[in-house]
Amino acid sequence: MQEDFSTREVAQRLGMAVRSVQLMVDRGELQAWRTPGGHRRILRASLDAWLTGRGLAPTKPADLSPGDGAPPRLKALLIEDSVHYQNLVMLLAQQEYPDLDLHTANDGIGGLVMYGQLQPEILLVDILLPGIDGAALVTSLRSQPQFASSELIFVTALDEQQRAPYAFALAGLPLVHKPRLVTDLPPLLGAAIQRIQARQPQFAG
Amino acid sequence: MASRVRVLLVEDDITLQRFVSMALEDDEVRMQACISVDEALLALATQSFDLVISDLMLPGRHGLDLLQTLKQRPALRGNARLAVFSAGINPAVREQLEALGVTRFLSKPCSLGDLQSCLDGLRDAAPPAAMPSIHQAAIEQYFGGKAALYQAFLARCRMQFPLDIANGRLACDRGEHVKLRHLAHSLKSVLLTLGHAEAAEVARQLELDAEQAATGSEDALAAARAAWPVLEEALAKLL
Repeated sequence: MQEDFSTREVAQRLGMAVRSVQLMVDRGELQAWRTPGGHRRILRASLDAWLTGRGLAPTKPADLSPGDGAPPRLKALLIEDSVHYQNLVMLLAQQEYPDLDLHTANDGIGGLVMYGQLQPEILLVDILLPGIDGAALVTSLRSQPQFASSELIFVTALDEQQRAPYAFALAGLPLVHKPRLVTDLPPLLGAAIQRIQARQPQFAG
Repeated sequence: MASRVRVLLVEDDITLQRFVSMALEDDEVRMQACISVDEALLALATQSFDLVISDLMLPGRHGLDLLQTLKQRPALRGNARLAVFSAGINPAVREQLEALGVTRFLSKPCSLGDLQSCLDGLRDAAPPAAMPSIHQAAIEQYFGGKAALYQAFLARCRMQFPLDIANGRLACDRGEHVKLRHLAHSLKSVLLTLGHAEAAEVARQLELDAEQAATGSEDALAAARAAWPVLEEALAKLL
């Protein structure tokens, strides 16, 4: 799903002049950032907040229904309570693996429910979660037959010492330390995608 | 790569933006324009510039706000030369601007020659001394050099920090040490990857105190509550 819009795209969606949208950014009604090349990008979340604040419908996910013959998209579920890291993983996935269909659950219980509904091929799990923690969550998921074919990656800010109590669940599984997320997650994700494509050729492009 | 002259223009009049970019931009000069003080500060926080040209009358915050902020936080300014592009720069205003470090004064309307003289000496200057801002260091260390990803993440963090502040206050008031621990835990690595190691350390200590509080330690809970306002202040600075 597209996450940031150009000023022109927002102007088109709102039926306003580009200049009016620039002024909305200026007044702080919309949040924006600039690319190093100087292009303004407006956050979808801020546009949605602006729209719903006026009783209007938020933006819809882009109509990107896969065309006939396109391979099915791989589904990934991120179970993470920190909005900041939900954002970062989403930005990263969008940049590195735009075809990945990424879903998010905010806590362990929600994660269990969504796992059952989505049956994702890839699971990204934070360890320290409200409710049940990531290690307990994974232990409980092991009883589901689908889990055997899921690729699991732990994502955590816990240092080695803090991870010790969870060692039983983490043994031998790929793990990303959050400060290294941007550099370490994409290669692990890439390797997971390759393994899935080797097992299930329908996902190979 | 760093040998190009980087110019930041803060000007809300789009016609004037175009005029300045036509006057200054060439193969050696890259200009980035923005229309408000807040945008300029975001740009300065994430990239370094050799020249900042600012209007004074801007929508929202006044251009002087920008210059005062740069005076208070020299790291944001880096080695940038400061120029003001405005109508009605009288001697009193000029004196005030000089005190803030402005060395070039462009009265509107101004000639092409005046504008181009702002670049004097910058084209041939050696690349800026290697004193990367904390942001550039963070981009290199934690973002694999991807400045756009850093900026997109920072913009989202700035939307979320006010909610973090509200949640942290509430958890403090109610003595909810588990919530406080999770919040501090998340902010610890967020602040570290954004390049704010000191604030990250406050968050780390708060995380430990909140974790201790779970064992029933009143002292630890009191320490966590005392640490929260410090962390909150650090977050507020990033807004």
